[in-house]
Amino acid sequence: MTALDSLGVLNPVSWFRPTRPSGSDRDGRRRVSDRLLDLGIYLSLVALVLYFWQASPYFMTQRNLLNVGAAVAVTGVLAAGMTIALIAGQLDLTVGANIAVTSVVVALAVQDLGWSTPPAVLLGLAVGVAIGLVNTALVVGVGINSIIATLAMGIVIRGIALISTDGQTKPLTNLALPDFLQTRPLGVPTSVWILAAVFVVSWVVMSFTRMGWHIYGVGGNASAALRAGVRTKRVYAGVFITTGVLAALGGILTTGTSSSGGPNYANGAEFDVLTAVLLGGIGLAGGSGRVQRTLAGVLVIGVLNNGLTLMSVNSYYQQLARGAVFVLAVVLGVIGERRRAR
Amino acid sequence: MTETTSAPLLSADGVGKLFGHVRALRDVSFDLQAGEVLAVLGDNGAGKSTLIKILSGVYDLSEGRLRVRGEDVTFGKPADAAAKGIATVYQDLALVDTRDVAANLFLGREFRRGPFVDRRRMYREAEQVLAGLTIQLPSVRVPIYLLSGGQRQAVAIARVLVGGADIVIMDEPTAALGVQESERVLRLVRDLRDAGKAVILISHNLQQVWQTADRIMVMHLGRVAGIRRRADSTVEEIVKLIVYGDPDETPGHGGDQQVPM
Repeated sequence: MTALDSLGVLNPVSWFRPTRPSGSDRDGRRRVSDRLLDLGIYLSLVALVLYFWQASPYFMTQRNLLNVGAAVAVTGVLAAGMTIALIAGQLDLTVGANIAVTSVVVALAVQDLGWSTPPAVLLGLAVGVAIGLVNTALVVGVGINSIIATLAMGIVIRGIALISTDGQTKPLTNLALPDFLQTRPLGVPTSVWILAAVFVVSWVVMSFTRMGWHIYGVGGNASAALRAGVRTKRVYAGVFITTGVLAALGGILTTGTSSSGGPNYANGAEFDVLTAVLLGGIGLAGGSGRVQRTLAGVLVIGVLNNGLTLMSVNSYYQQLARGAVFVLAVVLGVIGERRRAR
Repeated sequence: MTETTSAPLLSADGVGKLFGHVRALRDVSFDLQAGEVLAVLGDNGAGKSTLIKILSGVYDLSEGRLRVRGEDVTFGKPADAAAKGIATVYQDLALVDTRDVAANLFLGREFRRGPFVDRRRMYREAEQVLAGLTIQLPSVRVPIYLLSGGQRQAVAIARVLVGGADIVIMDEPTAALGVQESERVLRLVRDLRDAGKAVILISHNLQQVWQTADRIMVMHLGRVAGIRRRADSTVEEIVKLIVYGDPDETPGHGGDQQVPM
């Protein structure tokens, strides 16, 4: 900020400049390339779709595309939450462990306690809220950096999940939840509906509500937001509860699709989620980013995995491709941030 | 000026601040009228920043009392001061670089329409407020990081107008600006006064203070060394107040360095 201020000082003419940039070639070029960079994730998605469309006759079928959606549902739900956290300038690395403990809690409630599915699902979501509150207490109350606090909490939470089933995966014999997730309203899998709903709600909240505007404000400049009267602690609590609940929703989806609760589920899921989010160009510095871009990032990964599998690419090479995509995303993100800071 | 007849907009009475055993402010008393600029001058460590933070609700006071429009007030947080019509333009401007001009103007007090923010109204009112200032901005949709230092200062000042505050505290508004930009900002300060706002201008720059202030309050070692009407004072008197805390002090005397503990 001070560096940018001094740029203004060095150039007092800018004070009187009616519009900016004034239309010089250099500015004009930069803006076009900025815009291309902004659109990069959408262009990549389109390019991948076009490529796999011509490469495989099975790719561009309704059934396959819905499979892509279902395959990325959990990652996508988590990525929506992670996007909101990053915009607020925070990270939540408990989400993988949150999935594990939620799936275990739901499975134990249904199998061992004989609960019916709806209250078990509500209990799972309540676990997500509780994890969000603990993260809030550590980050806001104690003042620990969120990367450290949630990394540590993730280990604790997975430990709890492992202890409560003695490390075993708990199969479901009450199949109400799996059956529900197998329904296809209007021909679209339930998990895809949930994914779509999560992104629509996230987009509406972030773009059109005071809470969303405050999340951008707090992430961009926390002390400015505080001095402007934004209740920043409440904003952070809202963010961590959101990531907690969305991860719990991911845990419930995982429980339903696998018909079991497992303490080892979603190990390292944070990193797949971060790949998608960073691919969407959401900056680590906070205060910027859009959930729709994250959705595009999620779909790029889903399409890539699906397309490479359809083309019978060896799974080791798929791993390489995913890593390469991640590196590319980070490089593009760094370039973008540098341009913004120019 | 009508300081004897109208009730002051803001008055401080014996305000003090202790940090543990360290006394940063002692017995600060002054009145502030609508439509005047009160400059606060003082060396580093004179207590200017502590005073601003008390007035803007960042710190609570340890002693004394504050009144706004004759009513006793206590501030636990910045929002309390804002609710009483006190706005602070901080030295760092407190803007969110990644957000656009309108989002910054309305940060913390966004208009709403049902459950949603009223974007159209915010952009419209932001345009109106900025049109009233003698400052050119490309658009209210431009993010702050694309603006020059002076333009940012303008946005920070426009925030005050949007918020409807009638007491404006400005902390070194020209510290980071070049000569021309400083002139522009000082003109804005006078515009605020002419619009009936009460302005507290914290500054190091005596020349700028002389151009702008109606009254000058000099702080020295955490207390008020003196308050003067600019028209009745001299630069020499103010400088002595700043340096020695006493207008009758002569150079080289070295006395009156009471450490206020």
